[in-house]
Amino acid sequence: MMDAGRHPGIELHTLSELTGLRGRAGAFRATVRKHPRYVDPELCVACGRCTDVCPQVRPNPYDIGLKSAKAIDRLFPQAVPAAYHIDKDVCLNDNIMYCERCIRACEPDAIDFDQREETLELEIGSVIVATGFDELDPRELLPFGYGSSRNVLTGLEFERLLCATGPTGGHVVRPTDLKVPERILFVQCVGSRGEGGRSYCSRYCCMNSVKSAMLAHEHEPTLKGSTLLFTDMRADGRGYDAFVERCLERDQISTMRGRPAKIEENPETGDLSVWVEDFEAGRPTRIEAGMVVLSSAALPAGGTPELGRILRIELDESGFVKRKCPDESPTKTTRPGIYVAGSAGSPAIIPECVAQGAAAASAASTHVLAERNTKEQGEHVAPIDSSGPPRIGVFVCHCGANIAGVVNVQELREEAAKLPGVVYAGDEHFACAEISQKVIEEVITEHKLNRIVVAACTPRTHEPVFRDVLSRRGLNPFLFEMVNIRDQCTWVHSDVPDEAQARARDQIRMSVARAARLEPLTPIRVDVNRRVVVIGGGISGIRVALDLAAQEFEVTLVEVDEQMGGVTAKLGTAVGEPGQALTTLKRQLKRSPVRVLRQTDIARVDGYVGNFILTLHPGEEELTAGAIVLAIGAKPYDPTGRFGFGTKSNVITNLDLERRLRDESDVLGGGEGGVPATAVIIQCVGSRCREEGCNQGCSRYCCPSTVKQALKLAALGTRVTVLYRDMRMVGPGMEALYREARGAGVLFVRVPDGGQMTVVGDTLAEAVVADDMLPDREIEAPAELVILAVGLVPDNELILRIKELLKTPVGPDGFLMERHPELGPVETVVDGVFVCGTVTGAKSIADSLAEAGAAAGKVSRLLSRQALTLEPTVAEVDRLLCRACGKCVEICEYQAPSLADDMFGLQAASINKASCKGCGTCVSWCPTGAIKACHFTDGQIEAMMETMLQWEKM
Amino acid sequence: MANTELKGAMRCLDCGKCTSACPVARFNLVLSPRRLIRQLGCGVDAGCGDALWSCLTCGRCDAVCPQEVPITAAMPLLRADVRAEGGKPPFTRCGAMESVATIQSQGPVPQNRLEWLTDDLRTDPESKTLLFIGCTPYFDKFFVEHDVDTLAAVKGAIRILNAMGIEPAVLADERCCGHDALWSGDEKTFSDLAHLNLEMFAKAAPDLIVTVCPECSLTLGRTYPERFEAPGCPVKHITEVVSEHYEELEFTARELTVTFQDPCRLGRHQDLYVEPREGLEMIPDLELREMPRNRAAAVCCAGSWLTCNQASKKIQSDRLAEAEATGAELMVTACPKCLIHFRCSQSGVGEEPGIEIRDFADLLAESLQ
Repeated sequence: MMDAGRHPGIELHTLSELTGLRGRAGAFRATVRKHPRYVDPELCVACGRCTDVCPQVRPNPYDIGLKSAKAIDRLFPQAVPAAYHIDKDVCLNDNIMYCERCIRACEPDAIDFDQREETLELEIGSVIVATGFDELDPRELLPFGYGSSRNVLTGLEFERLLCATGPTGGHVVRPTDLKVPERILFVQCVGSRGEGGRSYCSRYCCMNSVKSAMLAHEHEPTLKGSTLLFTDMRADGRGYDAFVERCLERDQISTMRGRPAKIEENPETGDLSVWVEDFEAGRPTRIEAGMVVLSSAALPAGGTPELGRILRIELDESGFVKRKCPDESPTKTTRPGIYVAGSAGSPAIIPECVAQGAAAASAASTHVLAERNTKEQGEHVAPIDSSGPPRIGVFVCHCGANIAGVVNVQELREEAAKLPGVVYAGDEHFACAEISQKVIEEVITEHKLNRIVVAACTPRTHEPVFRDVLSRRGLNPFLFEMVNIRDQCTWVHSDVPDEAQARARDQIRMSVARAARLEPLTPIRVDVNRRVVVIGGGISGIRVALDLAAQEFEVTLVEVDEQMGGVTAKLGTAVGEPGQALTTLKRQLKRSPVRVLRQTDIARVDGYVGNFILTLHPGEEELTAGAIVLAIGAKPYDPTGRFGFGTKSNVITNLDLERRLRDESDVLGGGEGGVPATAVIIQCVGSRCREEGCNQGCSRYCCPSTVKQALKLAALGTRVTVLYRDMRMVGPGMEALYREARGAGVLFVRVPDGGQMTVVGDTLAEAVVADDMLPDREIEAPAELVILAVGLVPDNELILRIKELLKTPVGPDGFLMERHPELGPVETVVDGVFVCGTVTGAKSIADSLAEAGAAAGKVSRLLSRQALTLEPTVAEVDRLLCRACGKCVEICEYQAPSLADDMFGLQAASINKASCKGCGTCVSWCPTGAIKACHFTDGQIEAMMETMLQWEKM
Repeated sequence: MANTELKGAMRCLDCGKCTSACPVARFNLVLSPRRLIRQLGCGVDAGCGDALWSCLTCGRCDAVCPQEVPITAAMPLLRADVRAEGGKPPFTRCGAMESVATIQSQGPVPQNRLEWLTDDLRTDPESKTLLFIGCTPYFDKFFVEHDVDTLAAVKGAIRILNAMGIEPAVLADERCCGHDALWSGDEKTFSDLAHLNLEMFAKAAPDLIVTVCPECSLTLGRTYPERFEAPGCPVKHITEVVSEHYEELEFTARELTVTFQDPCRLGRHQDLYVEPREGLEMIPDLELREMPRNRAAAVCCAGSWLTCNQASKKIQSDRLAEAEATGAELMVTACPKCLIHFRCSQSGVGEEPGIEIRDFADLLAESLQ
């Protein structure tokens, strides 16, 4: 939100709605109605005095009415823009007797009751619909008691309770008596999956409830227990299953299958009785809970039908924006030039939303290629001279209650003010909030500061924000030091506040000492090669290559196999209609200017972001590229030895079945043609399993593919039994398909975790004996054919080789690591190297394609610049001290140092600044002390250590 | 077992919502609708004996099922299967009510169905509006011990129709509609009864058939057309007729507080929730107080001739207590069976006479101006 607010290429129109759209893709004219804010955001300094004097109280919609706000207010501290806003419906100023208290209180005269609604005409190239979803108001589902029983909350309301800045400051207490409940019950699928006429899965709720339960117990040690009532646990993201397992390891958290039919309140105590079937006894049973949290369905955002009409795009049967071809290009709507991202198109989880957002941006930018990158540069500010003695400013952040809830921020500030070199010390509620940034800027100028220390959260996300603050005032951004007193102190030591206080004090002292020794640095500029190499010709690789070609980049697609298409080609029609989609994509690829190299491998990669050199094998041709996209995918699990695969000829994989289903002549596979009378499909073979060679998590593609295969078999007359653990049918149309399969007579049997599944038969499989969890019995399902739905596992050999070549880290699950699973799903820690598709974990076609689009967007953003600016926090060699021993060349993982002769024939090391990551390994390895890590010099580090140890003496 | 029914059963997601909603399962140890449907879906012999007969087919499970599994509709088919194999329901009252239907299904029956008809109740054999009387004359003779007057509803319906200017036709040799036979899995008796009735309908050729019993309107109006594409004219419950003709009816004001018991056949089976309420509120000054569980969430009267036990009794007494808790003086229902079963529950040994129960048509006719 903050990034969007301060990006020079983004113009924000809040309080605005689209009322009309004319024209066509590339040349739209949008009419936007902008509602008055009654506060001039340019003048407002968000001091809050207006709110203090405002007499009118209203429910705060941000806290879903659980907390109050004034008629003039800022609904939450991190709001962008930070300026306050007046709710005219509540404000008293329309009275005959003007109230005007806020006007009198406002020093900068920012309040303007004469503001009127404005209509703006915007000339735009394309539109992205990202209107998200609304939470269902479960009042319509009467038996759940929401609205009549006060201790029944929705998932979002509970989320507010858990939030440190929420109505209870992070305490989980019941609305009726403000006491911590003894037990909380989470009810899943409220209004989704068949409830209230909504067939689809709301997607976000399973993981959200698990996380909420976990947090509730962390926040409230007196909470005795939580129970999750669910139908299928849809933990189908990377690491999600592991997270659920970790959560269930806590004794207090338990799960139970089932949906309640009703929730009754005891009017005296406010306690709730939840009626649900006890599956063992086959009878309704009553669970007593102090609080019930309903995972309410995700609904299309209010106003979607009208938006659809204005944009002339179709909606799907559930009312979400229709994705025209989810298996080819998931962000396309039914009208060219208009794209959809996130839950506006179908309920989605954060990584999917982020990927779709970037993909939509990339697709949208093809309509405005000429304008690209014209607005990236911020305005130039004359640099301030930072020489002379350090004048340090320290800002301690409360981070809501994250920091201030554990340590005494005032005290930290007062102590910081006394430290050597410090001329100013302040504290801010949210130092990152736009308004606090303004404060820091003002203070820099006012006190002529030349070093800034912010004691707050993690520099990984927030250092760039504050560096920008410095830049805006002409101060070199490297004269900034961030102290992480949240993650490293208040979060981990919340149970010992006194010690946390001492530690935070020490951390700040050390950083101030370092700040005094910081030196200004100049960013490194390198030229950019506008070519891209995409490695891997599966559906994601093809998609990313096509998208980049459409944006006029020169793309080479390298595929090691003879055939394009990867795993998708082997699964053909079984995953959506991507078989067809893949054919379309391949045809487009043929017509595109993308250079395709089959049966080609990468032998070597040199260079750095903007300037890579890839050596091909065979042929030894060298390709230059500014960016590399890894779309090397995953491979199907090899089930040899399990369930008689390899010994019994009628035990096959789902990929084998797909081949047989393609011509339907010999599904049985005996060579004589024919269709099996009975078949058993075993799910999760090689998935959700910690054994060697398996995917520890969910393989995601198999549930939908199994349902489709089962439907096909059923249509041919086969009696199909599916043995499953959880059916994870997510995404548009999937739940309906699942229902169709059940309706078509496919028998779905839930096998408990760790339950037996044994293939019986001597030479051939005859049946599968399995534990059936729900009627709680053992079944013997006859099987002329046993099909193993094999998981997607990392191709270890390939991934290790890629790791060698590109230094991209590998996760504990064997898949490549993305930069951040939620915030940077298609980036890696290596600049200029991007990932998409199943290389970072199994995923569905639609998600892989969205990631491909996102990767294209990220590459395009990188390469459309004239030159790249790289972090100057790298290592430098002092030639005079170097004796060319070559130790740095040996030790560096990134091939940054090299030895070279100078004009006198003297040899010394030099470091390629673009390749260097600034990790400092060579610095510690250098025997002569010739290498210096800029921004982490020995002097700076020593100062920190000395300060830390000195305190004891003082 | 019909294949389509079986497939519907296989849609079951095993969420157990049906069982947690089932009024019988809460007190009865053997019935789990989910387990029944699930076993059916697995092709396992339901072998469900008691569970199968104890289901009230009240449709509460269907109303909550997220997968639209036709749970209730599967019951008569399952029961027919069990009966085909020689199984027999544990009929209450030695199967007397079943015998009444069976006897009626076997050709000509000497019956005196219309002895209660008095002169002030105007009927006309030529009328195109046929009032289907149902089993009420039998009920009143049979359940003397409970002092029920289900015929009052029929008489009331005639008075209401008369007030609208209609003198309905009534059939002297009408037969049971076959509802109970059908739902207990006795296909033959059902279709025999249906054909006898349909023959009479063909002769009378009515434009409209009105019933006071929602079982009759369900069977005549939905099941007959599905099975036999007859009678070919609309079939309406008296509550529908009243709400459609509200302009033609005038009522005397009555300061009366009532609550309404949604009969399962009227509400969940025919979706008539609004009509009876509209009808009651036509009486000036009458106050309708809803029970907490109403409309689709209403609890059934727990009566069937198939099984009656302590679970039935418990459901009934809980429901009566719920009605009394509203503070209403009167519980109105629109089904003679509700009347009988609740009355039965109130007349047990040591029972206090509880809230008064009246039929919809009876109450409205009494309040006509």
